[in-house]
Amino acid sequence: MSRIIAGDEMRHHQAYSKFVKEIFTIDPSEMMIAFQHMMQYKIIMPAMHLRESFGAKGDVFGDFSAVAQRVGVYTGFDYVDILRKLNTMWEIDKITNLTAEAEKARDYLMNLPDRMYRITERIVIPNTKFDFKWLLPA
Amino acid sequence: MSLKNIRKEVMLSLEKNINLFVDKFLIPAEKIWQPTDFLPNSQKDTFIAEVEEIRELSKELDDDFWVVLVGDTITEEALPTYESWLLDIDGIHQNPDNGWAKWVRTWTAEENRHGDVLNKYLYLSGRVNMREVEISTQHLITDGFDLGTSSDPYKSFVYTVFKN
Repeated sequence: MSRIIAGDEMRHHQAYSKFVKEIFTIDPSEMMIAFQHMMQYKIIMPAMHLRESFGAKGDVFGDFSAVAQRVGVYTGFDYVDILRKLNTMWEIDKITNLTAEAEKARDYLMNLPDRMYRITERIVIPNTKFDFKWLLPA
Repeated sequence: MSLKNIRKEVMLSLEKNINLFVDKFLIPAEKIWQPTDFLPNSQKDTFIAEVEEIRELSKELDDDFWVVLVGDTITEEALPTYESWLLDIDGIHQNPDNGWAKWVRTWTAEENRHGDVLNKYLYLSGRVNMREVEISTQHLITDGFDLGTSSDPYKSFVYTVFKN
């Protein structure tokens, strides 16, 4: 089931990356700066505000994220991996006619995967047993 | 021209080919898989036996697995948040309707199958407190999100590429 969903997501990913690729040909500097802004801000999970009943906004997101990482579904290394792939896919090293600001943005993006890899190596994922209400017997 | 107006021009220029994108990257309802293709068919007499099988297999999977599946399901079920965010991007509008809005609706319609199939599977598994899952889902849609893209199409597309 996860595989069929991933198949859909891959098609959608290809479509949106094609949009970006086309924008890179029309408006390269602004596209580069936008890309850099997003990576500097960090890509957050859409479930950032995940909470349980009677809980506060976002209160279980951290625990959920820890579980997803220790299961290996989505880790910091995946994040670095995606970054590398995007840089390659959009061939940002080959884009010409950039403004000075966009050149700086590109430098940042080219160095980011290695920098993030080093940070990710140092992250320790907790082995805590969490008690999610989702698994409580009704 | 302001940066915002240039973006609008770029969006207009991409929109000219949007139907090609829809045809190439999205799949019509009759051709694509539907949740029921992967679930026990409740019109058949084998339904109960198939549900039993899911429940037995589900017992063997550990809690971490279910937590991740629940979180993913809730994330998928918060689709209204993503659709309203996309429809708010500069250059995408429904009034008057443009090609981008058609793209977003067609994409949303495909995505909607994900939460649907996962939700039904969780329900049948017997391993999950569905009422708690439903409460979290309702909260997540209420709470929305802030991705830091504002309504900028360039930033928003980077986000969608990364996330998919």
